[in-house]
Amino acid sequence: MRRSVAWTLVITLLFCSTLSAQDIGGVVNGKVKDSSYNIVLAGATVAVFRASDSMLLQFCIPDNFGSFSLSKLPFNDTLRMQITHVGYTQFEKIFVIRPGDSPLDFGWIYLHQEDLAQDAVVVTATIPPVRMNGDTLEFNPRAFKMKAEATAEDLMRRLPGFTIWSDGTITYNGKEIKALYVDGKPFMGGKDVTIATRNLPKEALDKVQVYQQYNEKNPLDSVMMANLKLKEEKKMRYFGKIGGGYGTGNRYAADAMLNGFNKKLQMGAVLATNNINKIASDIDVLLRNNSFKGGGNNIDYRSDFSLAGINQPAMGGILFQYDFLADAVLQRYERIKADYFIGQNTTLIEDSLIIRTLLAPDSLLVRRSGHSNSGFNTHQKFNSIYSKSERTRFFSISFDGSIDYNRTVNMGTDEQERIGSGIIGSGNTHVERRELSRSGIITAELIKRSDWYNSSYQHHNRIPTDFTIRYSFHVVNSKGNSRNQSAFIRFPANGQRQIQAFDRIYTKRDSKSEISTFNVEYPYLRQLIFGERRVGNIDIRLGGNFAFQHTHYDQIVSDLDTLSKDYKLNLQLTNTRRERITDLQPEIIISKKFQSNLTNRYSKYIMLEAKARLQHYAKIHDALIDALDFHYRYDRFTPQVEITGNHHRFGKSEIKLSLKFETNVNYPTFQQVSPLLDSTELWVIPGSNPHIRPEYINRYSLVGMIETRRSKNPWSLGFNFDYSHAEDKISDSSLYDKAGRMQVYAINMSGYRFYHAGLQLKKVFSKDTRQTFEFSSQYNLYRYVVPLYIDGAHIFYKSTAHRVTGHFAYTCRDVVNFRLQQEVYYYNNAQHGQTGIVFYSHVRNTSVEGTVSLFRPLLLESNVTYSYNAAQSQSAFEYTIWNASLTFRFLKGMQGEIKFSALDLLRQNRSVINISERNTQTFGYNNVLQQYFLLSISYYPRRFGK
Amino acid sequence: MRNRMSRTLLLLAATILALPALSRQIHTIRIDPSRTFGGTVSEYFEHVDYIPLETTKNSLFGAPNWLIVTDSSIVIGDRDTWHLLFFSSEGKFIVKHPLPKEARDFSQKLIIEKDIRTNDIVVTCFPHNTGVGEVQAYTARGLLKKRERPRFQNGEAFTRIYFEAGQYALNMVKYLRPNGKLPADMIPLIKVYDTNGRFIKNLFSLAPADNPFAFTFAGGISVSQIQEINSGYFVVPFDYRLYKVTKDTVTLLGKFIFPAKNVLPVTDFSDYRKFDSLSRLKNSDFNLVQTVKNVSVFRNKILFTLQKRVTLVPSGGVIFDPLNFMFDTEKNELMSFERVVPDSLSYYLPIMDGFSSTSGMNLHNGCLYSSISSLNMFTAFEKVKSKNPAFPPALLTYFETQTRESNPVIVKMRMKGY
Repeated sequence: MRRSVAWTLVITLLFCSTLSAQDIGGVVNGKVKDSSYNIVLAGATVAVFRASDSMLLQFCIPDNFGSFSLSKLPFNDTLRMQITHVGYTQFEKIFVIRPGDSPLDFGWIYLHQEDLAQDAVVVTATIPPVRMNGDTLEFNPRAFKMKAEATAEDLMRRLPGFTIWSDGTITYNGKEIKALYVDGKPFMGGKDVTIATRNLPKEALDKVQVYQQYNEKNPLDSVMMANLKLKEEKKMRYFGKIGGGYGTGNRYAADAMLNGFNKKLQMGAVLATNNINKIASDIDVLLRNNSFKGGGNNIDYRSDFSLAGINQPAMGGILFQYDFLADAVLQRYERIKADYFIGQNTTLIEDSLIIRTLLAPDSLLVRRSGHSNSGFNTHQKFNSIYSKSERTRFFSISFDGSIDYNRTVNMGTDEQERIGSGIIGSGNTHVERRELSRSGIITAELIKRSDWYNSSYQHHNRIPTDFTIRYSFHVVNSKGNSRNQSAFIRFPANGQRQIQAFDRIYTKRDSKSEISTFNVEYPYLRQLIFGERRVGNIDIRLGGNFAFQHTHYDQIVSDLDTLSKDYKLNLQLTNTRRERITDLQPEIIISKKFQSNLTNRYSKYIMLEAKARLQHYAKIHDALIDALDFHYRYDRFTPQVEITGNHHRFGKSEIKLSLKFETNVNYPTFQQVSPLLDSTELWVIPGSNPHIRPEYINRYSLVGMIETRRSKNPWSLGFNFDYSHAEDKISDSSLYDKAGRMQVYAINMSGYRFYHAGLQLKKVFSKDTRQTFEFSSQYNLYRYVVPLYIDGAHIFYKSTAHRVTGHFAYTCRDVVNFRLQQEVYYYNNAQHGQTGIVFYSHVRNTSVEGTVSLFRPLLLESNVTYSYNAAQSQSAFEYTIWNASLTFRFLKGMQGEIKFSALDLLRQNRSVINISERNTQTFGYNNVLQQYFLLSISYYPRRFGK
Repeated sequence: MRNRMSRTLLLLAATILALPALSRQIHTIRIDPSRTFGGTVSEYFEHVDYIPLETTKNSLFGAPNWLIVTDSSIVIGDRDTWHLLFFSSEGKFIVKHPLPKEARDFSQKLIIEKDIRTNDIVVTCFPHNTGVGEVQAYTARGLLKKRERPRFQNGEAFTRIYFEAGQYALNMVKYLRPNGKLPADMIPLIKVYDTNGRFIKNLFSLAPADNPFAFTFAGGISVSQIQEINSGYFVVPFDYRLYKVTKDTVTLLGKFIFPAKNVLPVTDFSDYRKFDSLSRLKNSDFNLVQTVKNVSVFRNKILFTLQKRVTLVPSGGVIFDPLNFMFDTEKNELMSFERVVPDSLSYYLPIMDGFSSTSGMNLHNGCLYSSISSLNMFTAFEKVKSKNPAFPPALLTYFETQTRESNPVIVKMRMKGY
């Protein structure tokens, strides 16, 4: 089967190169001039079409002398030349190039100006394929002849200078396009550009615009943006999908989506349900999954075969956006957006694990576990925001909320063995839990900024009144109850087995948290204090984050009395606790920029920024059980220093570097200071440490990136290095009893280190407009040095992980789309302090996937993933997942689709768990989705105007 | 409807055609930037020289933000390196001097001008309010003659117009704050002084109420004294009336008339309440002509540059748009220098690039001077190699030894009939 896929690819590549061989041929030359004013028309567009089907063959813009030359034109074919220029009547000529006549020279071609003095309807001449309109580069989609079902994404792949990478990034001349708008506004939420590029048809586009949005305060900083301008259309435009499928093993999938929009209003609704592990966590994912694919060969969205368990999700959502201003103007808009998502899932996850715990070189615990977790959960999410932007002001207010309901039943059995001693303990658990949690956050933001357009006044004797102020109020509330029935059996070396059984009900497990956060910034402190004096040209900003949190937690616990068969209150676990946290972080930021520009050559700068921040953190914890009360307060200076550099060589490359130092503080939680001891937790018994202190982590990082700024074949190279250390890291001190249970305390230890090094390389090569090769590679190295105490011995664990990914992709027009990916992950974890065993894990994934357009409406898709998992003391496990599908598209505009899918053809899918952490290694399997066949049919209704 | 009426009125007004010779009164000069003549270099110039400016570590600069030509030197003011550089007329580097640092971040106004009597270069730094400024004066070859720190009052700033016998006039630069109360009185913009610096009279005043945006955006008027002693020319921003200044009089010569899309609506430019919307228009509309600058006259021809919104692309160039014109008053023909096609006289190389198009060309002793960046020179060179142009030795050496990152090249074009 694999061989036949490979042969298909080879044949298709040959087909593409044969097409290339036929296209070299005739040449046509000429010069374009204005008929009246003795000027050459260097801004004209010269295009040659095939007369029979108006397919665009070549186009160019004349040089400064008005001369043009077009080559690679077919011989003996009737062609049409069209020369256009804004303000001139169009010139057309029909001609044929015979092999002996090439090159064909038309000499001077004169264009006539349109008569604007008369009150006649001016037929606008065809706008050239590319032109500069002020500071915006505009592409005219009409100049690019494509299939009727072509989408905006298909068009952008053809436009010179654009690169669409396989990870979804879009770059123009090597620079990433950070945002893509439609008619100047975010489209359907605005978070995922593919919703616009894959649904909007090329025929609905009037222009594709690219421009730099400059930071007014720093014109050297700019963000590249793209805008899809649509043709004028008064009626509402819409697009959607309705589809369903059914297959073997009662597998099913159904989707429905409908979105409509006009100049001011955007609305959408989407529903989906299946039992093939296609799960979406928000409405953007649902919209992307149901997008129209157009003429390209996007490798389709698939079931997640690595997802544990059997899942039956049902999801839906609606979104709404209203723009009070129909036409986008720079910095001026007023908009309201809202979206709602609901998803529910019924799951059944079964696992089988082996957990190895190394205590000492001669002491190894092995625990065998089996669990079954069935559950039902519902997740609802609502987001809304109103924002208004004017030149000198920005205001927004938003409300986001969520409601989650979870109901789970978890059953498990465990058996603990000490190697050399035999079984030392076993346990059974049965836990049922229900929880309803709700969260809501209101945020308001106000930014006042200077009127930079009147910059001649900014240096007069005026106090700048710019500021930013942000306030949010967050409430999280959860209510729940659960029942825990468990039994623990101890097997002492000498003596009878001892059994402990529990039947515990948590009739109430409620919590409520309220967090108020203020954030303020004033950027012109230097001007306020020193007036017009430059003070070495440093900038001083004043700011701060201030948070106040109040949490209330209630728990009522009862245990079954085996004698009376009644549930009696457990006074040790029944508890009420309150926690108040105050976190104040005022800061002063001092920065200075050194910059040097040379027009037409380069611009470069180095910026030094130092943040002096003081953190005042106070926590008061009160509980019904007095032993759990504690409080602490810390005041700590947490500075941050950053040096950033940028060197942009125009038309060549851009280099960015950033070196940063920062201090982060983690404060002890109540679980670390004074946890509640719950005896139904069979294997881990937490201990308290009222003397535990915060951990201060000092982090150093270096990030760099080199990107080309050429229009063709861009590449980029990135690297990053991280180093963190803490001399008072909150770590574990563990003591193992004879039954293999672990009692763990939080303690502060010195010697924690973390290192990370990463390297990324990306390169695209397009030999011509038909074929594109993409290569990317990533390497990441992680190394932890973690101090611990195990059974009183001071141990260091040194973990090293290597992750290497290589990716290669090839596309040939709309015929072939091929991707090869290799991922290797190697992890080892060595114990130091005593000589001992090294734990290691090794995972390797190789995937090959591709689509081939056999003939226009028929698409063959196949992907094969080979997975290799090995761990120390464990046999290597490998499996291959092979999925394939055949799609037939029909109806006008390819709006109908029938698809036959075969998933996990080799029936080898397993979900492997392979984790090593400190002194434990876990290896096991989950139940997982396996082989099925599915037949589905879909229809994509679309209307974008006449 | 309103646009059509405006166009009809303009057409009626323009039936009085621009008079051919400046000895007669000029009433209107119709300018449609999109309908101007072009031609080849040989049709307008007798001779074209390319003067590469020497590139060394010390003489490397960004772009000629100020370009002043004297009888013995080429003087460049560069914003990137913030220096005033002196090159010989052949392009050899002589010396450079730092510009006043207070003006680099616009905390003071900077004016660089040539004293047409002595060819001295004068650099003046004016504080925005009452305070100490700086005046530097150099010979044409870059020798420092004077450096003073005089006190200026009330945000005054000016350029100088020179007359015979030591008389001179100050062209006041007067910016008004937006949205403030407009002064009711006329503001004097050209003041004449005698040899001893005694004020003689106001030659020209403008009422802010009649044209507030001329003061808000352009600081009043800007007199260009490129060529002649005893006279200068200026155009009132947004109003486009053309005046000639002599030591005794200011004479209205005529008015530039542009298509409606290139100007502010007649009812708007005197209405200060529209400041915000017009400010946005000025900064975003690439059609709007703010004023006409660099006006000079020789024989029957008027040369001028339009001031419009332009944009910087990241490479530092600007968008190419017809901005530099020559109006032949005898033939009533308007030509644009941007539409002149290179030919063998210019070795098929361009005569300007986007940067020099925006800043305008300098007229000195019958020659027009512009500049082209080395990036654009080498790009043009690649395109014209196939025509086998007979480059002069200086250009040959330039293309062999320099790179796209070298200093710009100055283009000197001798006008036909000068």
